[in-house]
Amino acid sequence: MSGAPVALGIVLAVVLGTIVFALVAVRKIGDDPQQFILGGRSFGPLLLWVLMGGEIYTTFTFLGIAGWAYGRGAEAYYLLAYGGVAYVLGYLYLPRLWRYASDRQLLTLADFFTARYGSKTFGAAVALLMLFTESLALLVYLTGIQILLTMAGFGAIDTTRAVLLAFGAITLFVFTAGLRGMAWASIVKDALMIAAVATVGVVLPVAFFGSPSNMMAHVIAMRPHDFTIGAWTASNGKLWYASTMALTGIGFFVGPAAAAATYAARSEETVRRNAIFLPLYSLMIVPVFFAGYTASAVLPGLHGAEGDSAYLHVLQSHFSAALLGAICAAGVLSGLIPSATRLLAVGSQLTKNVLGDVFGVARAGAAQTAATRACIVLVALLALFLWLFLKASLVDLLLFVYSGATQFAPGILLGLFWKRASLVPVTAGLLVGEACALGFTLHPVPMAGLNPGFVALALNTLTVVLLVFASGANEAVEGPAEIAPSPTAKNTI
Amino acid sequence: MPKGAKGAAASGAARAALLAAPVLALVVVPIFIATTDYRIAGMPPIMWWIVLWILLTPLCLLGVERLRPR
Repeated sequence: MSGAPVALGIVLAVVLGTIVFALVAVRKIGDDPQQFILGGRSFGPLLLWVLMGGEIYTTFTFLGIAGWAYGRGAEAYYLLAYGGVAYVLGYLYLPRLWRYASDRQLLTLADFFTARYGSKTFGAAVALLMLFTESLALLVYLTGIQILLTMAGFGAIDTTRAVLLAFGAITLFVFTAGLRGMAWASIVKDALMIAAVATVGVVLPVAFFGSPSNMMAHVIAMRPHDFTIGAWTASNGKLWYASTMALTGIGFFVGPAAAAATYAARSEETVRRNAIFLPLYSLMIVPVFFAGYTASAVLPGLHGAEGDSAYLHVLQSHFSAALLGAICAAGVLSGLIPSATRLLAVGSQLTKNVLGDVFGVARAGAAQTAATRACIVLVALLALFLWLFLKASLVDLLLFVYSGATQFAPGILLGLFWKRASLVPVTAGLLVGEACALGFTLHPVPMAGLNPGFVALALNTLTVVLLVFASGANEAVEGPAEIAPSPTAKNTI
Repeated sequence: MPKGAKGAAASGAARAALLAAPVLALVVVPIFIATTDYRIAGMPPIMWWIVLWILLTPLCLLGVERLRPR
């Protein structure tokens, strides 16, 4: 019990220290929406790298992945591997997305849908749908933050209240500092996170087994079946692995926050370089696997979400409260910073694409920034409200979040690479995809072991392609003529 | 310019191969090496293989970038 003040004190100091550091680094944000929402489109490689990393490596990295290593078979390795698909795709389309957005001075991802498909209504609908999917993502972070605070508090504090406080502080922070503040805070968050996972990935196996290699040998001997993948069509079998890789890889950069990070880059070249070197970030996941494996040998027998925090329980009972506090502090930051970038991205979409484009309110300048700030608070309140009444195991939530959020991918990818993709087919595809993703989650049906979200995405894409072809050749003239502007095009709309 | 066209086709194919390699290596290959018959660098082969390709993916993308027509 006596460890709680130390561990919680460290968490509090780190969170506040990060916020203060970022506020000092940012100095003045002003009321220009381009500055507030996109950091003035001026980010170089470092800020872009940490900003994207800040959104990718979250509390799920700390908890969910450790939980998969703790209790699942070799299909868990999709979590280590799917970055490969994601980064290759990102390399192909993020520079093009940046160019499209930069030429038209787009502010949000929903702006892309508005501009590419020539419909403000569609853009607004996308913004509202994303409000839903992103709120679910926020629930995952909030739940993760609560688990970490419970661990750091040795179960002795009211964590619901602590989560409300932490989330309130981070909302106020993004309200004040905008995207640039998030990027600076991400530097701290990423540095701490790398240090934290490297520490647990080495300290835990060494303390109990002498080395990570010995630990692996022990765990393999103990759970040999957890290092194989089931039959092709088994649930969590071979087809599940491949289809989940595809789904998560395609969905990786599909979201308003990732788009905002992309738009914020200084140049197309920066986006390209970033996409090339981001894969190395995935190495961060390796020590999390080691931590989860060690916990499965030291503290076996936990189930579900309990397995997520198994290695933290081991830390709690065998190591100093200071170490536990430092690890939990990094974990809490890894929930707070991505939450904040999502609040900003969703808030700016509500402002720009719903209030501005549909209702003609707060369309530019200081009014737009003020409205974005108000929307940030609204979204935060909505997320907290949902969180207080909707909690589930981390992984199941993430898979649902992912399958829903990834349904926007055809609209973006086909929109960037296929001139004939147009409003009606893409809208229909999105509806089919979301309906299926939701339906399959609520009423699971066996699909030869395929990931249901992947099936939904395939049906979504198929709908778009079929409708484009069915609508005939004359459809091709509709919509914006130029999909990929020539590299020399500098004109803006 | 048949020679230039040929060169462009060859570089296009090389770029496609460099882009496809990480995807195939990470989506398809792991399915077939999920075994505990042996370990590499202390890790089960599937884990070692994926870590290897995390390191190789940036190199592949760097190669694609080098071959990009400007």
